[in-house]
Amino acid sequence: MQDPACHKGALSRRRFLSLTGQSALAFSLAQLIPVRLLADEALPELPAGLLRMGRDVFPHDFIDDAHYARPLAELVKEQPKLVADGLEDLDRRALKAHDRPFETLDEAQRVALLTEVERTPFFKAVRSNLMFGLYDNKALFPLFGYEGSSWQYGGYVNRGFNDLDWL
Amino acid sequence: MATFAQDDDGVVVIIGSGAGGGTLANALAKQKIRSVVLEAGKRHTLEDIENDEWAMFKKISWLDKRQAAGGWHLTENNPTLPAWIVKGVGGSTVHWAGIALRFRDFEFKMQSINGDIAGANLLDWPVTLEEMAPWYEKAEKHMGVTGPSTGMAYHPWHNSFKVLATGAKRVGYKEILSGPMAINTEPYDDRAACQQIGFCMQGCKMGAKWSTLYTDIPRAEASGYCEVRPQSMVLRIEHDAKGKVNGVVYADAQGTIQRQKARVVCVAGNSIESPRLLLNSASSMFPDGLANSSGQVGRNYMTHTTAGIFAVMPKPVNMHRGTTCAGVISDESYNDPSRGFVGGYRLEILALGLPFLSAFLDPTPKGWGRQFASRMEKYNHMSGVWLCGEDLPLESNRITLHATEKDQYGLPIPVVTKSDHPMDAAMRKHGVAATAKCYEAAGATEVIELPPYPASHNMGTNRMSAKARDGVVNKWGQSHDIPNLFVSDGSQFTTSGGQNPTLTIVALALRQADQIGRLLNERAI
Repeated sequence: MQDPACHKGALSRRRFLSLTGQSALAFSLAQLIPVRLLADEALPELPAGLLRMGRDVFPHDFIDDAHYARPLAELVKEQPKLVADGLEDLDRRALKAHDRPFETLDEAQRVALLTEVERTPFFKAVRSNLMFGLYDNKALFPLFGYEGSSWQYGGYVNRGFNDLDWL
Repeated sequence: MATFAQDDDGVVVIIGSGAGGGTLANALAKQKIRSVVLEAGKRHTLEDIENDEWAMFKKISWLDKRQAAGGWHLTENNPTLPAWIVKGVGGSTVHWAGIALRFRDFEFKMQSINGDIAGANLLDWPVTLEEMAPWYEKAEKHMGVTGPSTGMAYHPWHNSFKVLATGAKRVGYKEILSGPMAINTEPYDDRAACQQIGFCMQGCKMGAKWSTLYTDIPRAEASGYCEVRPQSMVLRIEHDAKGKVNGVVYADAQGTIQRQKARVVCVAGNSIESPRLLLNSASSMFPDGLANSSGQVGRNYMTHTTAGIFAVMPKPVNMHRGTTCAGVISDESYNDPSRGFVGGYRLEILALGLPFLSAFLDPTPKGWGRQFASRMEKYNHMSGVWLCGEDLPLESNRITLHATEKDQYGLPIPVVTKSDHPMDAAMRKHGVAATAKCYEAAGATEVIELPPYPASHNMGTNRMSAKARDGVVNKWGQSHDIPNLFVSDGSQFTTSGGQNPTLTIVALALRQADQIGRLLNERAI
């Protein structure tokens, strides 16, 4: 992967690792389930700030960057102008308020800027894209304790529909 | 399977194949009355049913464009999808959750019991519970409803209902039951018993839940007295010079315009499409639309007063395991105006999968960030309730035709306008608080209110009335203006009751079939 100097370029390996590093203390279940990409598996290229924003919209420390990056890359492919303009607007707001690009701000600063734009088509597109990308992603269901399709196992009639015993 | 000629003017044309239309077709077939069912959507089979919320949503939902308007939150948060209903053979009986409740006595006479209520267009039904009781019993046997009519046991309590019921008992509620449900707890009517699959609203994969898709519709077809034409979108109903309806114009699967003659027309397209069709059928003789001398076509749109309430419990619940809605608390389902509203509501257990919880947990622009994500991470600790309460009829809550925007058939799209009556808001607040109390008594660490989902219960837009000036149809669902035009779905409802509508729609359809048979024999229509 390239490591472009330009901050609008691809997501760098270094940045990928640093963002992923936040989930080093991940939810223990995550280590038991093969949802992590190998470090060498190519991560889709994303414009700067988009992955950071995606992780702020639905922050789950136990989910890998790759699971955010893949749906976001689809969005970039489908609506490149919406995304580019949206990120540019975010950076403009960041520079105005803090003299630094969006991605370099701390979480409270980023969330404040995202709140300003939460009604824009750009924000809504990112949110909707990740709602499907994360919560309708069968590979991630187990991390939330959701078991997905059950009919092929005979439903839950013999698999714990009434096993609650702590009341 | 029978086929009927398009110029056969002796058939009953039924528009829609759900709880109203599908039931009616089968009940007419049993009387050897010939019908053609025109269904806008495709025909699916059990093979097509998946345990996948979004896949099934995309496969079976009515996604033709509609516009939400008015004060309800859907205007902002779901502007093109105010209602969550099915386009397909079987209609919304594919999606419904199976709760099969009768109206209570007072719910047929809300006006005489409560008097006029400012801002509401309240009216008594021209039917009483006494008159409906035998039809309810027939409907319960027909659909296979757990409880006294069939002798089928109620469902075993699943985890999520155990949580709610425990809290409900602790706060003093007494009417706690896992039914009645039109979902088999033992083999019944050639259908299997429920396996607690947990995807009732995506279509029951094993057919344990009653749906016209695999009961009434194939049986009517097998009788030789019914032809079902899927992917047939009715565009307008036509009439003769005397003002009697005599046929319908529809677009087939290829988009080709077809015309089917009819002796009788029964409209059962659910409470948005049914009034829309009557309005779109306006003619020089009926400039305001068919059956609309009262001006009530499209008005009094009701959805039930609803909210979602999800509690986070201290330990895992796994609400996704088991029959989606098998659990009802009924202590608040009586008319007690001292609560600040008329009519009652039930607390109904309702599970969502992870994908739908993410869509409904907070559909407002605020539905993101740390709080949202941390709530999602509690998914398997959640138990949820859906509030189902009386929704007052307002003349201004209505279906109208869009002034400029057209659908794929060139028809104006429907605009669905809905706002709360102050009593609706008061009931919602009361119901949310009552649910929170139950969950807190069971140890909930957090209780979250969700705004109403897109409406699956749609009622009232062609309402029944004793007098022609007050409504669209009489006590049989027969148009006051046009004797051979009937309404056969939930749009007949004069008031919503605090009960899930399907059982009442089926009971009315069985009763209407009987009446149509009588009128045909008497040559009155």
